[in-house]
This record gives sequence, C-alpha cells and structure tokens, in this order.
Amino acid sequence: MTEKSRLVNILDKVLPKDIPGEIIVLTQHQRVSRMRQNNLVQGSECEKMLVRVRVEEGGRVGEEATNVFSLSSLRQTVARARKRAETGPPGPLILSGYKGYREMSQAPAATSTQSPQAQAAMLAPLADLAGKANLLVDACLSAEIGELAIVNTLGLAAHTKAAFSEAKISVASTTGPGRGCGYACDRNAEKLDVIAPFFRAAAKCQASERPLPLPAGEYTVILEPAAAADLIRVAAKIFFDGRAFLERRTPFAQLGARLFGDQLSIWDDSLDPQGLQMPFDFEGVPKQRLNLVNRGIIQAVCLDNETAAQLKTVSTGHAALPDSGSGPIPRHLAVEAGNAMIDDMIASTKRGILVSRFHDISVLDSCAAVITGTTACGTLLVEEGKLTAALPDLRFVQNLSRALSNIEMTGDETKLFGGLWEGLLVPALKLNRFSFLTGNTGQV
Amino acid sequence: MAEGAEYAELTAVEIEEKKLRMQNSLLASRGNKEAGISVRLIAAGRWGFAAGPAASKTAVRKLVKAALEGARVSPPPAFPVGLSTIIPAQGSWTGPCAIDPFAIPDSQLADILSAADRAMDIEGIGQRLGSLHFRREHKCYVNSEGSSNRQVFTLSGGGICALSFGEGEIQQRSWPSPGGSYCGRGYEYIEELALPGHGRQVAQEAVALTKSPPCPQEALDLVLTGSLLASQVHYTLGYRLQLGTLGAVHPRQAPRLRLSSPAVTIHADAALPGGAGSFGFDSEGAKAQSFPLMEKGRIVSFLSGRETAAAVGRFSSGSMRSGSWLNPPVPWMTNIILQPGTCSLSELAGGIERGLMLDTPRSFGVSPSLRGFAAQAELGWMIEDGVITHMVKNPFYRGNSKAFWSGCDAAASVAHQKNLGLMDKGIAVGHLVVPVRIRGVRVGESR
Repeated sequence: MTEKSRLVNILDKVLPKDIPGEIIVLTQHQRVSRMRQNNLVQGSECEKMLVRVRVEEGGRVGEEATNVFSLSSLRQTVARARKRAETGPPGPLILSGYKGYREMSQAPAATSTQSPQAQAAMLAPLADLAGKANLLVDACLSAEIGELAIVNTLGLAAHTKAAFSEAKISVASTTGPGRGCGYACDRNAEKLDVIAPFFRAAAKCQASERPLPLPAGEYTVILEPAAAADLIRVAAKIFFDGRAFLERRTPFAQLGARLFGDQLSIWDDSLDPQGLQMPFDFEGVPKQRLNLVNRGIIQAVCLDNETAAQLKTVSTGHAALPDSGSGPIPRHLAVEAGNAMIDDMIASTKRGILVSRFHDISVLDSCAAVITGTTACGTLLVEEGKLTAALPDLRFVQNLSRALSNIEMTGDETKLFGGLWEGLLVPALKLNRFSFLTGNTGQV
Repeated sequence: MAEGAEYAELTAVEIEEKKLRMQNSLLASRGNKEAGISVRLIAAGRWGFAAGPAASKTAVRKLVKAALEGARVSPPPAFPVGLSTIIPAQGSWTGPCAIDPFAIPDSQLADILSAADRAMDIEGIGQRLGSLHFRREHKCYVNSEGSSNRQVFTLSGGGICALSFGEGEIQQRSWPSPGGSYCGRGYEYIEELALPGHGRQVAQEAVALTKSPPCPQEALDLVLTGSLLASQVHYTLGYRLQLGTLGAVHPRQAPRLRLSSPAVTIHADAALPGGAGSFGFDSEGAKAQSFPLMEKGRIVSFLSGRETAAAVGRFSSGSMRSGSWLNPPVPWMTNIILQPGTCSLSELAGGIERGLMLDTPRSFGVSPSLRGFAAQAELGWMIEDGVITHMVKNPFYRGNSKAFWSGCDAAASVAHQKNLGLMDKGIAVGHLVVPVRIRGVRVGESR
C-alpha cells in the first residue's frame, strides 16, 4: 500500500457520512543547520502536522484543528467541529468535487534523507572562505519535505508531496558596517549551491563599506531578482487577492483596468516544471495557469470556493494555506522575463540605485497601493553606468502600481524563490522614479 | 535523559485555542488542540534541537536521537556553547484567570462581537471587523541540571476595527489596536476591553478621517499614546535590548550609550500579574525576574538567556521565550514597563505650540540595523497652542530611534497607564505604557 492511500484511507475512516465535510492534513518535516559567525552552532529537526476539519451541520459551518494524527484524535476533532457549527457562519460549506489528479512526485529522496552531517558538510566551506576573506558568515540551511492530503464527502481524495530546500546567507565585515546577503533554493537539497550565494553576499558586503548619505528624491532603481521578488510578493496581496477584490480593498474596481506598464506580464502557474509544483490547492481544486496581468492590464484575481461562489463563478484553485489568515492569493507567480542583463541595466543608468533586497515591507493603504519599507543587504549607487559607492539602507514610500508602471528594462532570466508550498519566478527589474526618503545611516 | 549530552532539557506542551472573528455581522469561529514535545541539548559543544507532535516514550527517544545527531556533526566548533550558571529551580505556576474563557459558551462570545459590530454599523463604514482569541497552554519542563516546572498560561485577546472607503483610499480605526490586544488573564480582560462600547467612536473616527485634511509636512512635537506608543517601545527600545537579536546594542557599548533622554526609564517584569508576557519560569527554567532595562535613558541591563548572558560575562535575565514549541527559544521581551511621569494628558498637550497627538499604529517598520524606524498612525489630532484642534489623516513619521527618544521630555502620570499586549512572531509581549511627549519630530503625510 502506498503512503498516499494510507493517509487518505485514515481520513476516509473519520469523515462524517451524514453531513457535508472536509478534512485536510498537512505534514512538514524540516531539518535546519545554522552557522553563526563562521561556526556551525545548531542542528535542529522538527515535525509539524496540521489537521483541519470543516463540516456543515444544521446549516452552519464548524471548523476545528489539531496536530494529533490518530483515529481517536481525528474523531474527537470531527465531533468538536460539529459542535462548533452551532455558532459558526451560515453554510453552505462549498466543497470541491474534483477527482483524478495528476500525480506529481517532487520529493526527491535526497531531500528526505539529507542528514545533519550532509548539511554540515555543505556549510563547512563557507567558514573557510569567510575566514580567509576576513568576513563573518551567518547561514541557515533548511531542507523540508511535506505531504498534503484532502478528502471530502463529495468523494474527493487528493494527495501530493513536496520538497524544498533553501540557503540564506548573510556576510558581515569584521572592520566596518558592510553587509551582504545571498539566497538559493531548490527542490533537491543535494543540488543546492551555497557557494555562489556566499560569493554574491561577500561581494555586496565588501562593496557596501563606508556608505554615503543620499538626498531624498526619485531615483532609477535596478532591482536584483530577490528585491523584485520582495515587491511581487506584496503585489500578490494588494492586487490579486480575490477576497480583497470582493471587499473593494483593491486599487481597482473592475478587471481590465490598466494598472502597470506594458512591459509587465504576470501569471500564476503551479504546474510549471521550472517552479515548485503543486497539483491542487488547499481545497483540492486542480491547479491551472491563471493569467493575472497581461501587458500591464489586470486580467484576473485569485479565487477559492467561497469567493468564487460570491462572484457566481468557479474557483481558480487558490484556496489559502489553512491557518494562514490570508485570502486567496497566488503562490506560484511568474513574471515574464525580458532581454536585459543586470550589467546592461547598470551600464544604461546615468544615476541610480542597485537594490539587493527589501526589508520589512508594509502596506500603508491597500486601496491606494502605497507601501513602505527599506532596502537591505547591500544598496549601491550607480553613476554613469558604473557602481560607484555604497549607500545605507534607504527607506522608501512608494505607490506600487506607479512603480510597476515605470519599468524600463526587464531581466533576461528568472530566479526561483519560494517555500514548501509556493514558488516565485522573478527576473531583475529596472524601474524609473522610485521614491526614497532621506537615507543617512540609521535615519531610515 | 540524553546520554552523552553535556546539557539537555525537555519541554512538553498541550495547547487549547479558540478564535472567533466577525466581519460585517458574519461570524467565523475555529478551535484548535495541539500537543508536542521539544528536546534541546548541547553535545560536543553545539546545540541540537528536535520537536515533534507525539508524546510516547518512543517518540521522545527519537527526538533525543535527532537532537544529538544535529549537535554532533563535524567539524568541532571553534567556540563551544557556554551557559551562565543558574540555581536550579523547581515549582509550578498558574497565570491568573478569574473567568475561564473556555467555559464561556461561544454564543456569549459571539454576542460581544455582534454588539460591537452593530455599534460600528454606521453610514460610511464599508467593513467592520471584530475578533476574540483565547489560548491555554499547559507546559512541563525538565532539564539535566535539576530544574523542573509545570506552568499553566491563559492568554485572552480581542479587538475591533472599522474601515471607511474614501476616494481612492481606505481609512481605518481600531480598538485597542489592529489585531487586538492581549493579556495573560481570562475572559475578564475581554469584559474590560469593552469592545461594544468603543464601536461607535471607532466607526465615527474612521468616517471622519476620510474627510480630514492630510497631516502637515513639518517638524512637530508629538504626544504618543496607546498602542502606537506600545509599538514604539517594542520595536525601537525593546528589540535593541534583546541580546542576540541582530542590531541589538552590544553590552560593551552600554555604559557609554544613551538610547533616550533622561525622561525615559523602562523595566522588564516577567512576573507582572496578568501581563501578556508573564510566566513563572522562562524556557530555560529560570525564575521570572523583574529588573530595570534603562534608567533615565541609560542602558543598565539586557534581556538575555543563559548562552547570550555567558557570552558577555553576565547571568541570564530569565528572558528566554519561544513562539512555539516547534522553535528553539530566544531572548525576547516579557512585559516592558515605561515608568510613569507626573503630567496629566492636558499638561503634555499644553506644553506644545504646534504638534500632534497620535494613537494606534497602522504600520510600524524598523530598518535592518534597528536604528531607524518609520510609523504611520491611524489618526492624528493637531495640537495648536496647547489645544487639540482637529483631526488629520495619514500621519507618518520616521527617524533614528535614539534621536527620536532623545526628544522625549515628559511622561504622563500613572493615572493614564494602559496595559497592552501585542503578538510578535507568535510571542505575546506586555506593554505598560503612559503617554509621552517627543519634541521636534519630522512628520508628514505618507502619500
């Protein structure tokens, strides 16, 4: 008997037979090794489980959760959900009736068996490299595998696995304020390259010593893929959340509105083999490509069963992760690549700023699409086509719609960013007229 | 417990939770029960940690094995983990809970949210939100040095929020803060929050904000109050005093470093009755402590655990906390108390020629170095010649944390003290704050 049928069979045993219901199980096994100041300081392993039960009883919906996966605990959780329905929201509980999903095995054995020793061996060269360069490296190497199983009383029985590994590397100067970050992720921990992001981080660190102040104003910015991904993640919540659209919290009232520049096309595709695949969403609705922005014009928003019913349409397959508190948002976004290399972007810039990452982005007004945050992990001044000086972390307040309307160039390759159940493919972007506040060190 | 380990600790938890949320009269509720065990140990000079949901002997052995494997990897560490000494403590602790929230029927809790929802239901309000959250945690701890304890935590929280949709903008007002405020007590805290009683004012202010003038762009004196002040203390002072947090002040700088004017004194008190961050023992088994963090603007102590304290030749301040049993603990804020001054609120405003009174954060962000910050309040009240004149919208201010707090010249008296608890990375932190006056802050509209 395969593992898939084991999970689903157990859920089938406790699924109520007399009322509509759904049970979802998410498991996660994560192994993490941490390096601090060139020393491997901690190895950790944790197993998470989330079981969510939703039922409709007496015309109302009840929801309960647990992390104990035993028959008795599952039965108790179902009983509690039935009881909770007494004060729950009015039904109906809208269930997915899809069957026959594509099998997607994306959990290479290498990830599930990667040992602490293997992680330590992967990180060890960083300490040597950092020591020789008089740098301090902090690193977090994480490998995780997960399973998702959903059953419901309409006959849905879906199961998939996922694997994900990532390395977050931060390099600090021992002599000054210089800092740089690097990032890499892959479905297969064995294939993860930690050396290249280390060198990127080290180069940023060395380039960001002795930062100069910068007057407030609008600047051309060159966003490395990681920084562009930080903006796109926020864009997903502001522009593509179907619940926000229903509640009029989006910056547009109708689909078909021009929100961005011609150069921007965005879609969500969790079946793209380049990304981190997921065959169905957290309600069991099969995934398919959804075009969100075509040449700057908004085409669609993401929907789950509930928001789709309110709009009298069908779910786009974007039910949120249970307990995330989020609405239906895209978790597998891809931004169309262009034809420019970062070097071209720098060479064509008279005066601008190269941004490695953004930090702590928050939404000041979702309806006006105004966001704020700071740059991080290496911010460099570009003058006459060359990187000329380090800048401190700069605070920005920016209308995101306007920012993405001012795209001058788009990178020729996309980079992957993500997590166990999400993946973004984002290229570098060159934007004009990005608005920064005064950036003296510490005054951000 | 863990053969071959130099040190080991085991924590077992059982958690019961319920959350109720009402949006435009529509109620949603959810319950959760979870249990788990974590093992944290030092072997071969390095930390190992493992956590899992099961509670059988076999499962614990498996966790110990995994934690040992995580620690015992080569190469050996250049600097083995060192722990500061603590006197082993045994005992039990139960947080105060006069009215058990889990004994209150959901229908009664729903009635509170319904009443608040009705109070907010006025013309101009597009979205009404209310939430209640209760959490009970039973925690058992034992370590290899002889410390052991049993604790029972009850956390109650709630809040309301009204959104008004203006021309291309959304204005919001919350009580007592966006996402609600928390206290380490029972249902009695929810009664004290008086959510229905604040509903109408919250809604009226949200509507009024859409018609208010924008915040002027100039240097103004500020009076910070309520949950905005709690966030200001949390992010611009508390974070900087957590040893081990990136951007925190290093103890060797502390004797020379002022983080604020002499008008500011703050304490940490993990034993504060009913505080959101209260406990009997921290996550390393150290007894709850109360101590000054900053006296008259000068740093006198830090929030630390045994490892971070040992690294700087100090003893643990008993401030190790974790947002979940799935994560290793870190030094974190407990309850932070801003020492009251002697002014009334009208005296604080009376000393201002031109300024703003600000309450409730709409957004609060800090720079990666923790030295800079930016905040937007939900609303501002203009103060002109010592008198509050009118409401302004989108008040945004930012600056260097040290320079900002150096402008503090007065704090309100204890009569104005509020106990607000906020959740940060899953960890509840209590803030006892009184309004303060800050001179010469650059403010403006955020648009």
